[in-house]
Amino acid sequence: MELFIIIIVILYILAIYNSLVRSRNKIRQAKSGIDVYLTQRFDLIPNLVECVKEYMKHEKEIFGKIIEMRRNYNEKKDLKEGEMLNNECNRIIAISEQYPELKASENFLDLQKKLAKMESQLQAARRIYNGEVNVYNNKVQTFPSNILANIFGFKEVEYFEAEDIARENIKL
Amino acid sequence: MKNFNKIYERIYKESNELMEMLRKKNRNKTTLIVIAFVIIEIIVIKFFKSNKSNEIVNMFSSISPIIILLPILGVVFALERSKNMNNYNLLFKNKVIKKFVKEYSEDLEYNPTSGISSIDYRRANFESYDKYYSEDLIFGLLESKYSIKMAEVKTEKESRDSKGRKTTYTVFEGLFAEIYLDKNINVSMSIRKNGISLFDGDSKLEMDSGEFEKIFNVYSTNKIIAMQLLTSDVMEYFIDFKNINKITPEIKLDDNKLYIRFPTGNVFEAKVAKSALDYSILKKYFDIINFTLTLTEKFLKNISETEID
Repeated sequence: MELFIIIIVILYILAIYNSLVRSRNKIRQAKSGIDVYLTQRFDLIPNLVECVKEYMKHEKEIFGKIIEMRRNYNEKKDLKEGEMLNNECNRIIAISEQYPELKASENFLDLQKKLAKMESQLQAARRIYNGEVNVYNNKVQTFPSNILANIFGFKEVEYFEAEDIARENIKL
Repeated sequence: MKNFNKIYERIYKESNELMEMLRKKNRNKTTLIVIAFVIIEIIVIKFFKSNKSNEIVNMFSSISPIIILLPILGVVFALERSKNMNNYNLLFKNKVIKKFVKEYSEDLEYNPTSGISSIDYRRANFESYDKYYSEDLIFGLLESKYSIKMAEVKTEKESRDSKGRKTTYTVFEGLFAEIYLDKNINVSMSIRKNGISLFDGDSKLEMDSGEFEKIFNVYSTNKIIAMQLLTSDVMEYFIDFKNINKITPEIKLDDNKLYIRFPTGNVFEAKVAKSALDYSILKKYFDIINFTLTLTEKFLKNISETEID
């Protein structure tokens, strides 16, 4: 009988542990999803800069900044930096609204369309990430899985905050 | 959005008088039949009691007359009632529901005797079943963008116990809609009522709305597209519908085919006890049709805005 109880307890612990690992892996997977869409979006930066620099001569420093940011992102793959770079891209699109000739350019319109599509995919990837984080954090915080989480060092994960982007109210 | 009150007002003005007259006539007929049934029963009992010397009567008196007569009178009563109700029901469908559907949209048609084929329903892959029934077909082509078919569906499953006795139970009864979108999005997505599932697998999405998560489970072969379709306003729309109507819709999206079903039980049937133009019942039908079409439009809008392909 005692042996039976011990086996049940061990199996239970294993199940909780595995579920924590699975949740953590899902977060990693979701995070890499965001990275994929950010990278795809940033691959369009050279085209975007090429397309707009002729019209937006007064905004030269932005172009230098975003090219630098892109280089940094490709090296470190830091999502926060990636989001900042993404904001800069959105800012260029927003500023371009002030240039009627640019707005009429077919090349720019095509680029704008592609960027908008990717922004929507990126938004979806962020929501998937937050959903997975929510499940994982609930496990880390609630009884009895929080005990195992503490023992095995499963830490809470931060949600993806897209407030900065929302505050800027940029419409593509 | 269509205004239910205006639609209701128009149908009420046009059909209420006639429907109420027929309903009351039906109700009175039913009352008369019941009274006749009781009187006949009393007469028969009295006859048996006062003729105990008669041989034939004696033979039958060993069995209660109520037992002999009840089934016969019951059948007569049921047949009469069913005939009356069928006529009334058909009129209700042709006068009220047909008008109601047309008032909702000129592009929609209603046929009470047709249904959605079992092949179409099986394609949605909601469940397995042995028997299939369908009637009350609503169909049409809306804004030249999507064609819709909606009908009442009932599925039953048969099972046998250890002694080989067959029992039949209802698996689903309610409204089922099949919509063909004008765009193929190469994704399979289903939104089911939240329940305990041991085999959710990797296709399950964790939605970022706690309230939505409590009611629904979402599965998709492409999580990004599913998230693009299920924006916060779409999720809110689901929650509102569920809270107002106490019905949990289930959705399947396969490429360009959208299936929606509502576990409403029997619909589009007139009842003698209630007015044929009962506000709350018609409002429920309105909300279901409206949900189906609005959701389709919301999906199409999200597909076009985000250029899902």
